[in-house]
Amino acid sequence: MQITQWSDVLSGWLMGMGLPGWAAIAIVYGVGSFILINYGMLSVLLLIWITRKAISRMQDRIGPNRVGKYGLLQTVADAAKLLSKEDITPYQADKIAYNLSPVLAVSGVLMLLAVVPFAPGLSGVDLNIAALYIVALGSIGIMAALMAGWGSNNKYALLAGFRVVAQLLSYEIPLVLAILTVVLLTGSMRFGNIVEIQSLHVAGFNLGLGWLGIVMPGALIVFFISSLAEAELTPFDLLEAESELIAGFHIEYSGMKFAMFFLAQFLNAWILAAVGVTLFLGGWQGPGVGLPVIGPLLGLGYFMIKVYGIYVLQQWIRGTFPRIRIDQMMSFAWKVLVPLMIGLILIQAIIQKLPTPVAIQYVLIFIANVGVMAVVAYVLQKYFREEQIRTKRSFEPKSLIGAMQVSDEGTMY
Amino acid sequence: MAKPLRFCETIDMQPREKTRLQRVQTFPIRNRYAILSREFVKFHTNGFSAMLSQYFFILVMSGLAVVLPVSAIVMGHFLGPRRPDEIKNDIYESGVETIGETWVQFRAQYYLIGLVFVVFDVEALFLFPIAVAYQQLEMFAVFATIFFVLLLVIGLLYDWRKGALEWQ
Repeated sequence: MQITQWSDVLSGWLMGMGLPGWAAIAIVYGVGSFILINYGMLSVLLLIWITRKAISRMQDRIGPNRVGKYGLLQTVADAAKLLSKEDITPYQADKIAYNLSPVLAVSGVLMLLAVVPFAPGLSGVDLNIAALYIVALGSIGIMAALMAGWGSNNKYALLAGFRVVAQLLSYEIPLVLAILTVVLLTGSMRFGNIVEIQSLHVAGFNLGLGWLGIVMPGALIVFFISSLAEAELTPFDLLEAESELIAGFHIEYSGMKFAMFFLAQFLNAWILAAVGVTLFLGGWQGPGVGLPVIGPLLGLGYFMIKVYGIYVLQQWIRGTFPRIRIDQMMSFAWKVLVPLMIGLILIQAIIQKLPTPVAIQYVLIFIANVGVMAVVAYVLQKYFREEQIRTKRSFEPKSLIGAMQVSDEGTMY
Repeated sequence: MAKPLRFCETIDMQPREKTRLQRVQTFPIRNRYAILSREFVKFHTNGFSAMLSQYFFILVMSGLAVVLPVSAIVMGHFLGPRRPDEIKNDIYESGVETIGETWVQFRAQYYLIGLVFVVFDVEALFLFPIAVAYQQLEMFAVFATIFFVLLLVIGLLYDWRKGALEWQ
């Protein structure tokens, strides 16, 4: 509401000055989107600092601590350094694809910021198909990665580009289906509505704790796993596996073009966390957001705390989990997550048409979601157990294994 | 031509604008004392709907989202040194000289995944409108939806059985 009024006031004033309507609206929207885009680009400096600090703590290091207080200005210095680096274009590169892909990668991510609801009434635009908009723009990043891999004329980059396509396409399906469960329950694709629905009024006071993640934890888990894959974070970061592919599809880039890929990757992780918070963790909802003056400020605070919390959780996983193989990754997406989510959507569709009160429907949906969580946990546990046995065996000397198997057959393994 | 209005001209100060305000009730203006001009009211009554303005914002934002990264890249291009040489501009493949063509035929596995993806993405595209209108759907439409999803499940099982999901 604040932003609508703000933009109305400014555009009304500009039209009063004698500008034609479309020009006034364009100026106002330009100012609004300029603020949003600059927020996105500058917040990446903070995100990279959080990542470096969190991961270095996990690895028993201190991390950046020289430039500025707590090393906060380290990323600013890095950005300035990247700005002064030489812009190298390799010979025989496909010039159009090579130069276009960093721009596409970052603009596809920046445009997602338009629909993120930061606080009550504070969002770029409360689009009525926001969920679909997120899904549609997610594909631009895939295209940018493929163009970078193709345009660089480098075998490693091309290999990584193809892996990106395979990975991101596979995990987009469970991500989209997890978003679909929320849309099915709330009956709206508008993020403003989805957040409004997650309020919880007790005696006229908005507690703001009716989060959909409580009703559907299974969909939340699947969303989180697939958002890790979409953001190219560690269990699924094999498209930039340093030991195999040097750096991935952006190996031939330097200077600002490299910085654009970096920016897109970190901002994508943040925005996926923001979308997850909006859909499942109540967005800006929290105790006291219904209050007249401090309500919106509280809402902004809750939203930021939740999103940065999820972001730190993503980095925690990045710091602790091993990388998985590509066949394991693909089969986990197509043979576990996709069938589970389709089953969940079918069950939820049937439950929502049962002639029972809404509370009982929610309980039934919760039970179905617990089933989904149980299956995911079972698959992961089985995988980790097998992996443990395999690594233990591979560390034992070969000759000894053979000798032991001969000496006491069957008892050893 | 419209004459410019003063900055602080409000609805209540101008009685003849009040009838126009009645016609723009659909436009979400909470504050009756908002600073509005005659042109503003006329602009919003002449079919510039809230939905159109949303997509206009997206259009403006997409323009800026391309212009700002491009300007950053161009700035970096001019700020940085430019000393190209034979070795530096060569392709980096772990320090070994490149052998053969890079743009070769690729494995069919990737295309299979792409095809299965298209099927399921289009399915999701069809399911989104159904999900939005689900509360109002009749039983026939519900069964049609479930049948539609089941058809795709059969497709997924077929892919699984044929080994399209195996990564060799």
